[in-house]
Amino acid sequence: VDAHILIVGGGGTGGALAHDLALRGLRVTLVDRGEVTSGTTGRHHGMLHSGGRYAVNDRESAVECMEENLILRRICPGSFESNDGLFVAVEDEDMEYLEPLLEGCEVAGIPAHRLTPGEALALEPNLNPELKAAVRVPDASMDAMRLPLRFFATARRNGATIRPYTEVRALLVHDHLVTGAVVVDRVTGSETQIHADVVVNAAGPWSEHVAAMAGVDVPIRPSPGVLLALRGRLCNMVINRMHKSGDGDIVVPQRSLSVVGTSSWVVEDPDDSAFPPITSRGCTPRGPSSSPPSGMPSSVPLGRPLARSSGLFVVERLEAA
Amino acid sequence: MTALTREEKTVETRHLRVYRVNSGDGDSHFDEFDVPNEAGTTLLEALRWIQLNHDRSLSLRHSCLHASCGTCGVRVNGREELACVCDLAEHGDDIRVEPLANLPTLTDLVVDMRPFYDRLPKRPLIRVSETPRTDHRFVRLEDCLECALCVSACPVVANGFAGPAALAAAARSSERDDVLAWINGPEGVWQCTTCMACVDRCPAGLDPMGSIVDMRRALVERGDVEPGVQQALQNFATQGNSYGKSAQRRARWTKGLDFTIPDAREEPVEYLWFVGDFASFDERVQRESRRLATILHDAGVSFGLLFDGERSAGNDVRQVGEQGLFETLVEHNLAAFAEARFEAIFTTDPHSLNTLRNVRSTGSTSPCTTTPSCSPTWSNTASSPWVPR
Repeated sequence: VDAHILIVGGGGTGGALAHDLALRGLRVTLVDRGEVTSGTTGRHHGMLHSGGRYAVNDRESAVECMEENLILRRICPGSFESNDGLFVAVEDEDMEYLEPLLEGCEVAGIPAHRLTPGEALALEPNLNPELKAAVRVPDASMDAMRLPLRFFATARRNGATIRPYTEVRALLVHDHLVTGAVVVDRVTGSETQIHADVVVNAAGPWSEHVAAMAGVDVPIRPSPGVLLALRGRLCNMVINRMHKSGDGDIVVPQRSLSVVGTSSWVVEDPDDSAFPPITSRGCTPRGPSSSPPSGMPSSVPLGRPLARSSGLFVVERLEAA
Repeated sequence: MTALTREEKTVETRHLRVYRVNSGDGDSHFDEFDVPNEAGTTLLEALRWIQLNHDRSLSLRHSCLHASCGTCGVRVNGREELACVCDLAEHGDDIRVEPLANLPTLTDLVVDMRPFYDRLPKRPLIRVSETPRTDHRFVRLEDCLECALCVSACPVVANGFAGPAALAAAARSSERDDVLAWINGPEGVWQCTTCMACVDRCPAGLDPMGSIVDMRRALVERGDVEPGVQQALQNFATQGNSYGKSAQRRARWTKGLDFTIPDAREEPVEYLWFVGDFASFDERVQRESRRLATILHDAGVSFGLLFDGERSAGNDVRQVGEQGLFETLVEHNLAAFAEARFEAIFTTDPHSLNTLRNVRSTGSTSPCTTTPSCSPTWSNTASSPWVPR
């Protein structure tokens, strides 16, 4: 009998894993308490990293990003925009990041090209005309929900069982070995056991909770953040701040939206995505409004605009006052 | 009564009635919940609050939470919305939440999207956009979120119509013969009633109806329309009405009256009555036209007609996509308006009203801008003889 793998969590990790294991001929069952991609996977800004963001401080991740970037483009054609990304230096301080960025990209195998301000503005006319330099890297926009859907669909075609709305209530443990899970069908309320040779915990920020069912401590610091989704495309390329990673340093065009990100804070419960006191609801435009956000709350200091003064691009950094 | 302290302050709530259906026996009902509501609380947050705190069996679909993925469409008090950007505060105290219409419901608020996706095979997923200042071309994802709000809102999808999103997608590859045959077929563009519900609901601000009318126009230009439509267009072209009756006979309905209605081209009147094709030529509606004329006459209202100078306002011609013929009709009516003397136009025909009031033809201004005012109130009064077609 083939080995049976039970994957807990229907996000990008679980989906890709189900696909990979099904390709290898293993029997796979994947469960998620909700719809697939309903956790953190669907909520990111939808960017395929080139690794440029990590080239300076996290070489290992940068190398992996570029390798996976090429693999994903090959196995999921049509899932990405061929838009590339720009790192943009706006202030003198940003220029200090230029050489380390170019060098880091070279070492990590990331094709990076320095552009003059004129060349960058020709590609992206909405950039702040005061920009000092730009570096072009093979970032891309992706559909954060439909890319993983391809993994689920292919895995299922290759024999995997995908069970959304199926919540793990307990893990079966025998002799210090996890041998399966007790799951509840959330629609019918019926409880069943799934036995498995291997149980994979792919629950993302909920994995601490899942691991605890087997008496295992997996310390997780769940960290939600705010993305601003603005109506209209401000740019075609992924625009990064040429600076070490921080809050509010990226704009990703997403279909007819521009997604500005991101910020983060730490919570105890990953289901707690309530805003902390620092941000305000007033700064998250909701709904298909064509008007720009009504303005940032006064408690949030605003940095210099990344772009010419459209009124939309004012977020540079969300910092505690 | 002492004032409530801060701790005791009650949380504002909204009353939600949520559609529930068991996929097993198909029995459906509404469950009621009082959900906390702060400024800006979305419907999706409220539904997830129910899931986490009250009823884990409630099924709904969501992913991005920022109107990008298109998975959380529901009907809120009968109107399609993405739950993630639906502000509870805008929907009153009693909010009814149901799954999208025109797609099979799987459980609760989750619909089966397969019939919708199955109609998108001819759709190119990506498209090319250009930057204004270079010839650089970025291949990008389409704006359509594939959320199916338009399909739920469309009144003719239930008749087998392919739906706004699929047809708008087909418009981008309408140079292909197989796509052209499909859009011209029974599922295709001719079923659209141009009601604009799809445009109204689209969370991405797109205009699927415009794409449908564009495709009709392309088909008409190719002469690729069914014989009935062809005949009607021929009638508009030769006689200025869909009946194919002589333009000279347009005011024959006035014959049975015991008074004479002035010709606004010959004597000044206060109101010009734009009668329209149906009220002029259809025998049942003619009776109503005579009744209204009698009422106006008895009330001492100064009104007149254009008689044989009036042509169809061209509402249907335009929506079929025969833009050239529409322009011809508009020009003819504009010339007749210029010849007449009046202070305002009224009509009892809603199709004429739509065209006169809302449509700006290319190359000329709306007829309404050439006259002091149009008077939509006339078609809304209780005495209106408007007979729905």
